[in-house]
Amino acid sequence: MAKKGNCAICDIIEKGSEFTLFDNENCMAVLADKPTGDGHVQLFTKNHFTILEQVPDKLVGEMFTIANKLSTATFEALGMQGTNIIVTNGVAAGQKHAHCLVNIIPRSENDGLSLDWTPKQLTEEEMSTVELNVKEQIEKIGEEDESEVEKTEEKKSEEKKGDENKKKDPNYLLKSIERIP
Amino acid sequence: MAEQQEMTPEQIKELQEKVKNMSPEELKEFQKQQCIFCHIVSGKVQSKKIYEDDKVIGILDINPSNPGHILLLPKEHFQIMPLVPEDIISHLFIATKKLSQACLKALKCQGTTIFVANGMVAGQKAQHFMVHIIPRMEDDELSPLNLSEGKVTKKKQKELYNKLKPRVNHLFSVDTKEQFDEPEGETEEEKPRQARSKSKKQVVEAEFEEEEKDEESDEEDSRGVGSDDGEDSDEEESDGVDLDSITDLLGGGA
Repeated sequence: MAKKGNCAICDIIEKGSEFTLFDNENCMAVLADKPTGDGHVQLFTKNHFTILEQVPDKLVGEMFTIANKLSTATFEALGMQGTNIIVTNGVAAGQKHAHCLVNIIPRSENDGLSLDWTPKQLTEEEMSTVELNVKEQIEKIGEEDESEVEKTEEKKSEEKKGDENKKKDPNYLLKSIERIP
Repeated sequence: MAEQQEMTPEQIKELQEKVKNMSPEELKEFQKQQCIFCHIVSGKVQSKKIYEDDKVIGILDINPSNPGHILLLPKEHFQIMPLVPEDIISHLFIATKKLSQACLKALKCQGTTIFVANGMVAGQKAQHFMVHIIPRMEDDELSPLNLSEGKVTKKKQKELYNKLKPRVNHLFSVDTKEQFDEPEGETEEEKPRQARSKSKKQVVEAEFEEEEKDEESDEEDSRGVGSDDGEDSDEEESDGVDLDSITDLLGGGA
């Protein structure tokens, strides 16, 4: 789990980058080599996790604490007016590497980026259905958590295979991402 | 959610004047009163709440980018992310991970976009810091969020890197040491940078304090970082804006 053979991000972790901005035992941040905008920073965990859901809680907390600071740093050092912090989680969301990473994108007026959306109008009924479904899953996740607080990442991925039904969608996600060259 | 009444330009001006003269505590209280999301947290305004614990709540966005678009926000009022304490940041994003997982399962979607906007130019619309969790399907209409890959020259990267690296180093070393006055292996030119950050930190905490402090920090800054002086003088102008300008921009829309 520490490294993965054909992962471009694991390569960076192993070989280093001349544009490394941050490096500690768990996380590393570099300037993106194909930036969405000037000063685009990518922050990732040193262990190979494909999607955010696999990253252990503690590490998620650490990663975003670092992301927050990197965001402040880019924004101050480059004289920007804002930042976006984005995780593209899954191919459908535009995830390009099979290694979970946090994008920090400095923003300024007229930078030509449009990271925005047109709001949709849902009917009251549609909203209620979504509400019920999501709530139900959140409760399930809450229960799982209590029973597997201390379990390691590896154990979790094993469980996924065992419990097809519960983990169906994350599995689908993983498979589709692993197809990324 | 547009429950607030329209104001005349005079009223806005009056309000801005009032805001200017407030102490940071008063200001925070005032912002809370004005903030629709604080009303949602307190239950004064109805919402489709799907998650709640002692620090954060998650609600469904009533104008979602996709069905199941969740807004996850700290219960306490923070305008922008840099003002949020670390423990709340961790807590918030651990909850984000769970909600993202719940979305994947509940909505049979194929991915999620975790989205944070800091500042109006980045698309921040509310004055209450929040995380967006957006369920994604292949070929939905949200492809701009997929982050296009651009090109950049080595030279430009190097330039950006040289600006960024000192600031990053600095921000993180402040964090690991209780006091950031310790000289510990620093070169001459790093000292003024530390001094600068001190005043900067005060600015962050005080949020709306007068401009002078910021100018002070700028002067120090130009001495500190000044490796390419010519360019820097231009840079400093915009640099001085940073956090304050964002809170200001957002404050203006109150």
